[in-house]
Amino acid sequence: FSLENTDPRTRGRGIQLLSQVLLQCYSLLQEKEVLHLVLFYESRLQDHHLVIPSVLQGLRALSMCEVLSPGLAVSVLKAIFQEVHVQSLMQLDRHTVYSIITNFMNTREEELKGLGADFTFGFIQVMDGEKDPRNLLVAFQIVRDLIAKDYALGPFVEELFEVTSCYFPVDFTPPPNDPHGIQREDLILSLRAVLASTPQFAEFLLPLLIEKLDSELQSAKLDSLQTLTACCAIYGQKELQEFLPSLWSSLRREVFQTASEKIETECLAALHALSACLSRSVLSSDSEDLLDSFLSSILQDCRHHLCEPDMKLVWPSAKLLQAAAGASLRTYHRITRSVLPLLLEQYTKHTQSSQRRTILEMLLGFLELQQKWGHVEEDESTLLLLQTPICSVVFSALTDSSVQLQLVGIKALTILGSLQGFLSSSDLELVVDHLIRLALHEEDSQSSEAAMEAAGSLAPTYPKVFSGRMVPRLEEELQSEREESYHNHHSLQQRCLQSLAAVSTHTSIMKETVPVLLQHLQKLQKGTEAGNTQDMVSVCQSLHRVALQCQQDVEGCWYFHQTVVPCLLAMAVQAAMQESTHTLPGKALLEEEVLVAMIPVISAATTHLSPELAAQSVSHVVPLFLDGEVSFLPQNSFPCSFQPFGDGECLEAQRRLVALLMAFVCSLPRNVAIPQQEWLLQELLALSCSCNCPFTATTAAKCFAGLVNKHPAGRQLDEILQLAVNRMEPGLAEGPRRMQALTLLLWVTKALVLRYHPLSSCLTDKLLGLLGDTELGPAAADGFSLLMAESPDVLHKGCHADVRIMFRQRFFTDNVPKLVQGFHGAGPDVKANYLKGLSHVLNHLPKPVLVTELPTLLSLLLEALSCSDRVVQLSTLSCLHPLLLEAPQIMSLHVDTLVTKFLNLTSSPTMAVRIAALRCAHALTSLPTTVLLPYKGRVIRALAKPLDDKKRLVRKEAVAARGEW
Amino acid sequence: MVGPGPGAAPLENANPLIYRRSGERPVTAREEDDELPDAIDDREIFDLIRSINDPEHPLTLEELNVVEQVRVKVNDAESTVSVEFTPTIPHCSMATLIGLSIKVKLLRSLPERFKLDVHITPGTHVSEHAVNKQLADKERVAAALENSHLLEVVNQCLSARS
Repeated sequence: FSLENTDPRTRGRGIQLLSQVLLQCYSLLQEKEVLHLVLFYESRLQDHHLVIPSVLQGLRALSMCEVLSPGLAVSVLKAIFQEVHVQSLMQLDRHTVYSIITNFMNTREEELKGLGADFTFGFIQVMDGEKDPRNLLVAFQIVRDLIAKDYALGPFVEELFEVTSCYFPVDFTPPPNDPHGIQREDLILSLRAVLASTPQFAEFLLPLLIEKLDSELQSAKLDSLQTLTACCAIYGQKELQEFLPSLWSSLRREVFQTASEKIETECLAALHALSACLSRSVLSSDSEDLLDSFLSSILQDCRHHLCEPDMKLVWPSAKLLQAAAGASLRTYHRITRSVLPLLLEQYTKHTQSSQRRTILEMLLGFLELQQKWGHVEEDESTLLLLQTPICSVVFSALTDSSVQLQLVGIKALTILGSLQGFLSSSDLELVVDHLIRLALHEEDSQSSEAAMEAAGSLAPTYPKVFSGRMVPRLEEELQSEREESYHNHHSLQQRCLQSLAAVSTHTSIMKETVPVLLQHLQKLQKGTEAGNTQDMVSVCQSLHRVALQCQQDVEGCWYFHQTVVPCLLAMAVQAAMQESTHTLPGKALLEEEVLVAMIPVISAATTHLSPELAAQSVSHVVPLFLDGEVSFLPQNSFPCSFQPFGDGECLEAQRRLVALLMAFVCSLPRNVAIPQQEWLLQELLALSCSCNCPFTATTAAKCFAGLVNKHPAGRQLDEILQLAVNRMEPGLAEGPRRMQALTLLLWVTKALVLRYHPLSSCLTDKLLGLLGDTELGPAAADGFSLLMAESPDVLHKGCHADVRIMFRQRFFTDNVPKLVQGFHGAGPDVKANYLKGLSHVLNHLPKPVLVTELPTLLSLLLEALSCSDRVVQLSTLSCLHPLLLEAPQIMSLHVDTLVTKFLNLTSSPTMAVRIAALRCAHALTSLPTTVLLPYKGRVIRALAKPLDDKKRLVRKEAVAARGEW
Repeated sequence: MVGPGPGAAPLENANPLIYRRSGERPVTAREEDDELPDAIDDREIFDLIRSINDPEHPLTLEELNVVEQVRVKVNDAESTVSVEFTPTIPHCSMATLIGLSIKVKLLRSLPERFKLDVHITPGTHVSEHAVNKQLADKERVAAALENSHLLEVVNQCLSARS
């Protein structure tokens, strides 16, 4: 019987067999059987060392038994602690021991605790000297449980600390091709959890951390700081007391001297945690207030640096103080009480704007912290006491001539305004006046933009002041007809329009600004001045901004929609009618530019409507276009009827308004039914194929596509698509309107590709076929970019289109092989079309996908570099650029071709190509050095030429690329 | 010619004056026009050297006011560049290294037709003449760059900030 065989190998095999069996069936064992087996295995622990691994396996199986009788766990562990010298075992067997301990700890917690500190001691012996990262992760977990579940540590606290802290800071680099996937970070975190798990370690840990913090090693510093931060979460005054001075001096030294931003951030975080920890601890009446003395030393060391706003240490000091001040309300009061008066005094003492700016920026940092504590408390806030000087400092910054100082002042103003109850009403009026002045009359556009932003962010807090004071002033300025030079007047009006939009962040203000804007638009329409187009576009831009700002607010959104959409439509319809009856004014409104600017306004006003309200609106707008039903428009007495889909030469202007229809219907939520949709679709289809004006035809095609994309699947959709295909085919084949047919094809294809409609592949094939057409080929190739790109006005997520997330990838896998095939089969004059189409597809593909897919296309891309079309060159270069950075291994194989081609392209006649080629040449440096070395001399010589390029932007890239080589 | 490497114990000037960095040069419409040539001007040369790192502080030469745009002179037509730099303190031991870094950066970044002149702003350094002489001597510069340790330090100064 092999269990009793005298040869230890045979015995080992026998026990191994038994253990394997037990591992399979431990859950079926009876209590008695377990008892016997345990006794047997325990006795086997004294056996030959060859046998031990199998014995441990068996014990592991038994440790998982639920029926283990009380007392056995303890006896097993005792036996292991006594008989086995764990660290002389193999890694796997040590792991088994840890598993046994873990299993028992999970199921027999009470019994093990009965062992008292002996258990801890036994474990310390087991893990002492462990080296394998896999085992360490388990061992750290056990220690963490020991502490977290409150096992008795007895006199072994220091030993337990020693046995774990000897791994700190973790220095471990996983071997390449490591199958276990243990990262350095795992060990660091696991060890940190152990070290920071109990205040009992503090007296040993803190000196260790200080020592490591003083070392030269960056990683050790980082690890120490992060561990310190973690410790502060559970430590109290008692643990920290002794070490505070040296901790502070180490932290201060690091922040003052370090070159690494990461270390600085961690130091500040640690200081923050320390201060928070100290302010959390309850004070016993007799002990001195540690927090107070700690903060005093910080203040003492940092305060005087604040008085030298030009010196290097001013910012580190300010950051330290802010980190401490941000820890708690108490620290905040303590520090601001001392620092704020100082800063205010320094501000008046220094007169240069750059110094003042630094001081104000620091002040701003402290003010921002105040926001954390919410509103200003009446009695104890230092801030309230300093209200007058702070305001006067900020106001003086606003009137300073330095733009930089103004910008900081505006930021400070925004924060002061957000502190509830800080600004008095007279101050507020002053604030608004300042903002108006800066927004309208400040020459620097940065300041005026910042002032508008500030007005926008303060307006919701003080809507009354802004609508009462700012809006009337802006309106007045907008309407004034001063006889200044035209240019001044014009830019002032622009500023007014922008400010009106910026300040409309509250519904009540918006209700006042929107009429002002609309009125202004009407005035412009009646006027006859040249340059009106640009002004109208500006008004539309402002309206668009307002629309975006009120989208989230149901009431505001509906108000905007109700006011703006009919008004714009009415103005446009009226203008179109006038044009039809040959009177001149009003034409500017129908310019393409203005219509294009109106599209986002209407679209933004529509996308966020609730379905009910949208349905209400759609029942007005669609009949307007189909039946000429004008009754809902304001001022609806028109000289003739509105029939945009009618025939006739004079209706050209009316047809253009399809753009507005598109903006509206294509932005509706998908569940809003459109009345008379089939009729509408047919009209749009007809218009898109028959109209001579490219703008109108394209818009009609887009509108059609937008509706088709949202149309529920089914027979009706199939019919309408069939109709579209029937109209397109003869149009594409020949005739004067081939372009229109192609445009329609592109947009319909896009609509279907987005929603994965089965017909889309048939349409794409048609498009691929057109690449071989000498006349339409280039346009079709450009069409691929339209298919893949996000379109700004229709068919995107924002206007509720049906867009599947992976459509680009899918299009890529379906069509690129066909493109490649087409390229190889094509005649020389149309080959470029295929390359162009391909590069458009690649350009819009997400980069990670690109990197995995490109290697197969690489040879084609290299060929594309020799293509003379600069669009192809440019897009190929932009494809290759990320590839060079992310897949250097594959690219190394082609380094010879790449170097030659890139260097050739650096003398291309087009600036953009030269720049892209130089960027690629720069990116080449990320290939392995050994690959590059043979080319080094040649490249550096070749790059000397673009250094003398006539364009500065090219020279800049050349400098970067050559420097890197 | 070698000063103490970075990280060597106490800094000579631990709390220097810091100057504000000028922003990126805005790209003008003219620069984007493919047809018009842009001449190499003072600002362009200044942009090349302003981001060089100081050997002992984690700061750029611009922030320490070692180089200023007004002290950069360029004549594109005659292909000459002259740069004056100002050490932060008169006995700065890094002056030669800083000058060398500027020189190397310009050598690498300018077309060969340019003649370079890098020297210390008169009256700002104790051993001004010695340093200027070293920097003007082509052979000494070339020899210095053969020294791999020195080249490494220079490259460190020239490398982009992380």
